Amino acid sequence: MHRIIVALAALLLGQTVAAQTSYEKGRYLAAAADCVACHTAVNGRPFIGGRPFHTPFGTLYSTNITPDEKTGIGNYTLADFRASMHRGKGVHGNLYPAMPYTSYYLVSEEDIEALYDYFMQLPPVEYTAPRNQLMFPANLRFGLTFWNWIFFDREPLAQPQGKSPEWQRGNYLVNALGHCGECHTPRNFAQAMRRDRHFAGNLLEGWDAVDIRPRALLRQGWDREHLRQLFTTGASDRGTAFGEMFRVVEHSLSHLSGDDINAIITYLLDGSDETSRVEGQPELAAERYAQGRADFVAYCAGCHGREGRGIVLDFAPPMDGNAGIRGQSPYNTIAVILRGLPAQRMDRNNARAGMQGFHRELDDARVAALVNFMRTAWGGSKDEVKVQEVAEIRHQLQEHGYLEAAQ
Amino acid sequence: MARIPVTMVVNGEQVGPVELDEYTSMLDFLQEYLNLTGTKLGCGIGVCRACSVIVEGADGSLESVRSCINNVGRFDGKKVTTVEGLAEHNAEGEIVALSPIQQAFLRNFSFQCGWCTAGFVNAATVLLDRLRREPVAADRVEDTIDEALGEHICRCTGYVRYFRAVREVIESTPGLVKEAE
Amino acid sequence: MEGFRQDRRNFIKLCTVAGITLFAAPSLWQLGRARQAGSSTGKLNWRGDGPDPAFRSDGIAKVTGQKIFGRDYRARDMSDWPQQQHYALALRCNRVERRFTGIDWTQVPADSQPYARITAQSLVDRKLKLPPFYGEAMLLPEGQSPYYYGHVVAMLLFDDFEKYAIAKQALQFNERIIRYGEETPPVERDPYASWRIIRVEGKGGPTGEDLYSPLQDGLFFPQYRDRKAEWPTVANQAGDVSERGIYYAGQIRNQVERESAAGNWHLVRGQYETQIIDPMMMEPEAANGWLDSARSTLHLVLTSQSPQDFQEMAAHMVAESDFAADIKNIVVHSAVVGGGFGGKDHSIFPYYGLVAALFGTAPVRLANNRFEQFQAGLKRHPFRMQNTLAVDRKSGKFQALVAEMQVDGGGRQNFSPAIAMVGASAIQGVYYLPRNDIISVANQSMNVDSGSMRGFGTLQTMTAMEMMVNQAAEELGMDPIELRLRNAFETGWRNTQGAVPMVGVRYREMLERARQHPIWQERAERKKIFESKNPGYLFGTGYAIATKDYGTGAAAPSSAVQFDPEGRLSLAVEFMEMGTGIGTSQSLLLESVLGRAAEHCEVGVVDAWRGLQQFQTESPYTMSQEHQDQMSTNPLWTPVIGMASAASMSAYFQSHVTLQAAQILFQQGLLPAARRLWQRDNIDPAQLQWQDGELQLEGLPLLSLARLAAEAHRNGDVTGVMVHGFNRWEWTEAEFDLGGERQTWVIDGLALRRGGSADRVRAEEYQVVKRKAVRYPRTALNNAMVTYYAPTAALVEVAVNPGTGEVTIHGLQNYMDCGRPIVRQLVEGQIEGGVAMGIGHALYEFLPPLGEGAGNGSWNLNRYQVPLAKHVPVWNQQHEMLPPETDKDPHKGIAEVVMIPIVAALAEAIYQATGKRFNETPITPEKLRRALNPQVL
Repeated sequence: MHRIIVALAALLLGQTVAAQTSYEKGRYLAAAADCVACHTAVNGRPFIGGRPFHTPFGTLYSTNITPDEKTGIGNYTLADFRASMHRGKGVHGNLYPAMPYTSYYLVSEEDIEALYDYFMQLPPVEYTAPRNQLMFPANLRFGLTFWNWIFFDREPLAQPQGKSPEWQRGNYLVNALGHCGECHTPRNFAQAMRRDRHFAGNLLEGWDAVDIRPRALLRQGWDREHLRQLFTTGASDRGTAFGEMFRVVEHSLSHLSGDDINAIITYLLDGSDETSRVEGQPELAAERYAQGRADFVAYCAGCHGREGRGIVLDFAPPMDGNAGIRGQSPYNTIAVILRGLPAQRMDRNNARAGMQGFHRELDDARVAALVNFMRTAWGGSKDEVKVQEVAEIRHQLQEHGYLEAAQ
Repeated sequence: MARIPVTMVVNGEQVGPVELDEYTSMLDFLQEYLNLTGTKLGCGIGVCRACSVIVEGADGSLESVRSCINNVGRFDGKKVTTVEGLAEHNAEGEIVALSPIQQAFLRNFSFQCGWCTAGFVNAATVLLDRLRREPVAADRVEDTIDEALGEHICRCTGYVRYFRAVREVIESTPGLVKEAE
Repeated sequence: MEGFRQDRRNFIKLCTVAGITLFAAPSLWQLGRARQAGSSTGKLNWRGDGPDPAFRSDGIAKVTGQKIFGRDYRARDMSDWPQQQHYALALRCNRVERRFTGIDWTQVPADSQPYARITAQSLVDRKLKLPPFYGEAMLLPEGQSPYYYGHVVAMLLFDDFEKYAIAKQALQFNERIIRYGEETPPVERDPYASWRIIRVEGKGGPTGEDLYSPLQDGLFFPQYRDRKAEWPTVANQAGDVSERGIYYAGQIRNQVERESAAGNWHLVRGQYETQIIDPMMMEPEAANGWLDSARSTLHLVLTSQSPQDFQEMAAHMVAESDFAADIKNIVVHSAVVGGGFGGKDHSIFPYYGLVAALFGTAPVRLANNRFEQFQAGLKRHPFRMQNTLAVDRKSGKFQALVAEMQVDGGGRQNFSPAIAMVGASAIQGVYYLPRNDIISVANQSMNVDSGSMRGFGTLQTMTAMEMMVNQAAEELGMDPIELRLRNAFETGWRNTQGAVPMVGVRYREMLERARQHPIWQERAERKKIFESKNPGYLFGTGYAIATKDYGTGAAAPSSAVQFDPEGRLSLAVEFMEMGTGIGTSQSLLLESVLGRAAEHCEVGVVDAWRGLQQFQTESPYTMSQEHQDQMSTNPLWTPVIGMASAASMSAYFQSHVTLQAAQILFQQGLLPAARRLWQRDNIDPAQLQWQDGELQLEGLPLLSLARLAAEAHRNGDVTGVMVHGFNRWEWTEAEFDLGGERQTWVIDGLALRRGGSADRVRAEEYQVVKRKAVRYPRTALNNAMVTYYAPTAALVEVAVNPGTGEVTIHGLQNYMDCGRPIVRQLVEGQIEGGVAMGIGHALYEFLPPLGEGAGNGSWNLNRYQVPLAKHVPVWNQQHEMLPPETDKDPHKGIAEVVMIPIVAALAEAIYQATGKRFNETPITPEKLRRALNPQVL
């Protein structure tokens, strides 16, 4: 089975890739696999590592994956490289599963080789990332063998019959290279992805990495065109990418070919383009959540427009039809209101201003009313957000220091 | 179009209740209804900070709020100070004394065209208010100014003289600076 | 508004344009200030006690938020205007490739309907047309395709703010309000202008006679085919100007190839590009206008940097329209400009304000928000240059420059021809070039039009030159400053046009100073230290020097100085206050001549100059010598009456006439009074001295200015002097009979006030003194293009983060020669502002062309990155002003020059840090990151 997928994937890469050198192909695959996002320290050089990851077991730092012999992977053979990608086996012991080998094990042999070629041709940089700071027993790498034994089932990529080649390519990009599940799949007590809840959404760094199963995406209003916009520019009328997803668009998705973006979308939407109809009820919402509406007009409409219809997307997205407002979980809507958003620049043409956080000025009841107003008016939601829910989210964000972050 | 009644105190004077289109921005309210044009439109989308006004919180602390992207409802029932309200006036309405920040900006030739001045005056005034409650370590004064005024856009004088003026006021006003940690 | 009564007509005869009388109301801000009496004394007095002023004369108004800017004024702020304010909204195209087929009025919210809809047809019906300077189709007619992005199709007038605000929110980004039909080919036109500067030095070298130069031989022009310039091809050394030019151009180009092939000359050859830049002045443009039908008067409050020219062109526009019968007077109310940088100089915007006012039934306000300002405001021209600099390998001397520049002027011509010319003439920078062939073509495009923005073409070309020089030094293995010293231009030498600059140049001195600076001397060591302390960061040092030409070749400033019986000086100048401190510095200028600074300075004065009764005829640039000779016999003729205010020009040109007026006032007003009071018939003016506002002559009691003024008023002596000057790279001199003797002054128009009571300069109190003779600069100097320079240099060190491409400016040292600075703090503020703007041009500011660009209406400051404090060395920049050589040094213009060397210095510092050379601005973090990390997509 495994071999078939590899063959199929190679086929799907098509002629453009065939014409590339192995290095160029590896460079493209590295973008698709978003290696740079983790293996670059904040404000650092690409691939030299040093980015901290705060896990429940302590802080991990990404490693130097330039071919420096002393501090990087210069001594790796192809087999070593494959072992680290597929099995989480480093030359010096097991890798922590912050390295998404739990997804990369699906990467085809051909791609592994191209990636290896590419990494070996990078300019070597001598740099050693800070030491991991993990609590016992997680600081013992041999424990990872057991973790892998229990939680790392190397089930091959599902390849259902009757799906188009495009869908299959998308499946590969999303699950293997893109390792989307690492963020969008809930984790168990040992931080392993829960197979049964694949892509059902997961809280991460104070944001909801949303449910991206086809039905959830369609419910949120994501059709092909909006997803394409989001993946290529980071913004669409359904909303903008923020947090880690902004970096994914910046470093990975925006560099992919049109065909690959299409494949990803075909897979994610499972071939459907039928977004669910939303029965927004602005009148009802205004009546039921008068304070929420008043606060929307006073605090939000200056940027998100009259009746939430937006001003111009290059500046700020509309709220009417916003995926977060339409989605099942109100988490991100609440978190954005409390935390605000930092200014983001994708490139010299595409940048957005930050948003102020309102955690000081709006109490839980007002945030709940504001969220309920928007979800009722423009999201067609029947479920009401409780004040207590806002309080809990506020508490969590406070605990982790997300409310004082500079905007 | 819906109207809402708005009441607030602007520069010490009671305003309203007045019925306004609920989507009226605070900046438009100041300019078109109160004829206070000292608060400036720069970008209209909350980036340049020229439109910043001062809002007094329940505890008396001051906050700098952008008037272009916030509509009047946000200011309902609040005490608002604009650049016109910082100097001392006599009974005839003539200016008799300027605030320390205003004086420092003059002394340092901080601005040229003056369009961004109101925003800088207000943000710096808010900063002083904050430092009165939470003094800053002596070696953090410049960083603190960078953070407090760093988003304000000035196009004529390259920030140097604004920042220098604020540092001067902070360092010469007792109680704003504590010893370096 | 007593100024508009019929009985004043005899004063205004010469200021009548096309039957319409032009007035300028007293500056609005001055009126406001009069109501704020408390500020003129004590701590709130701007003058202070020291040698420098305590603060800007407009400082209190600005720091307390008073109404001073054109955008501040509403109908109710204007005396005699109706209280009710109407509002106008302009609808602009955000695409160009389809035919405009009309407006879908159903998109306008039902409860917010305009009372007037102005379309192209409305303009045709009332015979309104743009002034020719701006071209055609003020509003795009139905059935045509937009000429450029942002073309206005209609204006809507609303009778209250709420309706306007609601409609604007509904329409500004509404894709359905403007309807488009089928696709059409793009609108294309011939280039706006083409220039070619060819010069070959003669046997006499830099100071001798040229074999060929524009100054000596004149200019020639190409023909246009397929919208491209085709230069003549016939070369003949003994032929006419073009044949000779083509001959020498061919010689230069051949020699470059030959000497390079022979290994004698090293060539630096490359394509250099600059981006579209928005001036991003903080105050977006606005206009408020009212047609007072009862008094046949059109009032306008503007944010313009060029109100005089507006007024004149507006008068023609009205006179040729149906409104001619209704309008006898046009009044422009001048105000302080909230930043301009040239973006408000000859902008088309005020004409839309004027049209709105004509169709309004009450005062109408048209005000851009920032999206609209990006969409419609003037830009800085992007240049694309193909340059070759030839350097002798042995001597390091520059041998030739061959340059071809394409300048994108956008959809309307505006100043594109002049900018292409000035850019071409400035590329030589501070260097001497024995041979040059420089071609510059200003092209039409679909982009938002560019105008006379800060730099005026020189930023673009001189930056390229500095980049080439830095590259040449690197490739020849020479120290970059040493290479510059070997090629530095000297006083008395000829520039690329064959002209000899008027002002002494001090390039050598400036270069030597930088060479001694630790940033330069220790640059290798500093790099090593920094990089070892900050592993991963790359450090580099760069230097560049530029010299900004200033002036337009037809400067015509006016100034008037007068005193009241109490000795209070008041001053009126023609230049606008653009935030640069003109009011402050001009007021202060009087101190050296009249003992005190002006207590009252009115800037941007338009109206008072009719006291000089001057008139003009043809364009000063194209008139023949015969015409000039013939007309100058009329003592009231002048080549140009008024002029636009370009910021850098104020210091030099305006100061000159202000000083002339002050000196005449001293001689004709104060000196006779002093003679009488001291009872001395013969006083040697050289023995006189001012001390604390009192006139001193050894052995005699001090005379206060107040005492002298009272005496002059009592006796009916001269109490005010109004002058007009004209400068075409040289000043005009004229002779006048004054006090019984013939005197020569460096002006061409003079009027005097005797006695008088007005506290402000009023034309009607002045009487013309007709000149007896005049010497205007030769019209041939029009070929010289530019001959005034103010140099500046920058030494910059940067740290580059190779991961993100972010550039941090670690240290910055500026050098400049601004002659004698009038107010040091103002000059320093200008420098620091120039630094920031230069950094923006070099590293951050960027607008893509065409459909993605500003003309699509979606641009604002979230995307257009102007430098913030964190991008600028706020706490660590140093300036050194070269001390004036003599106290006769001119006051030189400064504003825009500072930003120029920063750009090339940064590019070089980045090269020294990273090994990557960029010939294209801006060098954004994104671009740098990609260049440094080609291994990452």
